[in-house]
Amino acid sequence: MMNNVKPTWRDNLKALLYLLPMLIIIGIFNLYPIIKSFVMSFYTDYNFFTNKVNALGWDNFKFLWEDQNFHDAVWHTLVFVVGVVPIEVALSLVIASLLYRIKFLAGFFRTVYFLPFVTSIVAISMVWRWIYNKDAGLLNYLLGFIGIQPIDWLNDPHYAMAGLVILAIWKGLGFNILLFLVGLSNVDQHLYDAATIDGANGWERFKNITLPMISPMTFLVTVNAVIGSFKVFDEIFSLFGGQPGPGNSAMTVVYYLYRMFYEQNRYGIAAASGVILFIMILVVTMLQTWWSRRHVHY
Amino acid sequence: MDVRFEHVSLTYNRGNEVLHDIDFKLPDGELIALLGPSGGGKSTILNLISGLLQATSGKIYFGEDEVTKKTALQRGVGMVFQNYALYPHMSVIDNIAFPMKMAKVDKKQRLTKARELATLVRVDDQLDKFPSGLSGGQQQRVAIARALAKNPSVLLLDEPLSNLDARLRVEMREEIRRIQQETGVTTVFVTHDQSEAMHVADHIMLLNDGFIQQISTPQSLYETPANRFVSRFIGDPVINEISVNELENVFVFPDTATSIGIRAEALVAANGQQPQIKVMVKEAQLFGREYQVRLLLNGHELIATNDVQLNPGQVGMVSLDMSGVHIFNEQGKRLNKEVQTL
Repeated sequence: MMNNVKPTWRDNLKALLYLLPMLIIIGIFNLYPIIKSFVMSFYTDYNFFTNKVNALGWDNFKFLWEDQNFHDAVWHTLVFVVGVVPIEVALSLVIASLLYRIKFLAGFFRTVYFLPFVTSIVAISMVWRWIYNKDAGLLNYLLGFIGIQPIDWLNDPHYAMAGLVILAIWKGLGFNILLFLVGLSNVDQHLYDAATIDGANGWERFKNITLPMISPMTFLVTVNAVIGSFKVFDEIFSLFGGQPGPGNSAMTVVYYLYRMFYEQNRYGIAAASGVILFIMILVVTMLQTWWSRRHVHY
Repeated sequence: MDVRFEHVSLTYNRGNEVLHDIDFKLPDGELIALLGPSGGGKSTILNLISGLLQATSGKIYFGEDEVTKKTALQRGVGMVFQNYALYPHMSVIDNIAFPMKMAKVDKKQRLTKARELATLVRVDDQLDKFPSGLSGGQQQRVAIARALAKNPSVLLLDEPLSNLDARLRVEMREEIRRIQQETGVTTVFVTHDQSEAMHVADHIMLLNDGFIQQISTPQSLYETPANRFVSRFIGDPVINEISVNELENVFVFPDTATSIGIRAEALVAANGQQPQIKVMVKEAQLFGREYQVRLLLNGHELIATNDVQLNPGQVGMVSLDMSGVHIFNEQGKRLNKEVQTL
């Protein structure tokens, strides 16, 4: 009966009152900064300390359009995203499928894979700095067995991005495996029985049942990984000791933004690069959503 | 193809034996119902036939082939699951064609066959829909078509009607009968509803506690139950049961007889030719075309479905039609042949 009554202004006001505390917090800490940074990207002459805007315009974007450093940062970010996301998603799915099958020690393995996610990135980077060490590192030691000459992962501009990608993949595995495990456990066991009786072997069951049935989870994991990778910063900062890699070889958009804002105090340009990053993520996510309409089965 | 079990037992890992030394033969080309209360072992037998479960001991034959160690796929069975287990991301036609796709049947050929099957089960107007857009009965039909798609050696249906409402259940059980007769494939279906089994099956296997109670045609299951359990499980209303002591003045029982079961329709108006008992009419009720009279025999309530020509409150005689009267010993075994009328 209550549901049929049209809400009055009084009701709406009351509801708004309940929502108000959260709206204020979201407004101050989420909405305001977003709008402010959009606006700030048009500040061409700005005093940060007096908050005085002397001139507005497109100059910040023009600067980015011409700045080779920013072009490199965009390129590195794209390389990073393309390097990390497919391998991370595929690898987590494979490991999750294997983990889902073994009942023995499954809890132990889940914990092991989840550890990177709960450990501080700074601590992780310390370990990886040792793994990547040219002379005493574990990775070069292992590669030595298959006859590969020692690589200076952290100081050679050709390999720094590869090292960063490996670290990022490893770090992202745990959480994605957990998500995939949830997805796998939600697949109706009878579908596998039916497919077995219908003559599908292990691989065909995976392809025809598992993949389509967990596609919503794969979509979630992929979108999440893409967005996370576009925003990569702390892994770079801690792996290369506060530098964007040797010879700026691991300079990404967010690192560029950080540099402009904190090191060079060019706030307008920092904000403009943030806007560009926002647009890049928006476009890619929209493409993914469009693609998922046809390939994700809810 | 006929299906034969020889001394099959099944013990689960935890050590409890759920099937005990089962022996039977299901005749070729028939519709057979596995009937029994839950926990009786009927789904277990179905899964043993399918190959989804492996027997602990004993042998299973399909025709002349021993299939005991073979997988579900090697046995070539078709199965319809209780919840249908249709692939939710595939259209109706793709669902039906899936087994043929797995068998690497040429695409054009498998779509033709899938359309034929869809016509057989009467979902040919739903081919492009997804399972979520179908009613329960339609999903059932698609599941049957999919199970038939690979020309199964045996078609297995696990509680096929339990997810449908009462009216649809009656319709679908007739459909299963029709499809079975049109295809001629040996079909085994599991049910806990005796009336469902009675209506469609050629033979019924009644199971309880992991033992076969009786295998026979529905009619002989009803008319000559092997034991007390069968007589109780089959028939609606449930058979009237009283101790033999109450009828000692009517019959000479064998020494071992302990109880007597009387079908509701075996209580008829007194006719002077058949044995008679003295009862009091408690009440008479009509439910649509169904008629029920509650009679009291020395305080024991008996239900009759025939007009006994006595009014409520009246004390009088009713006759017993002996074809509906069964005598059991203490273990529940039926002893009818040895009974004499006084």
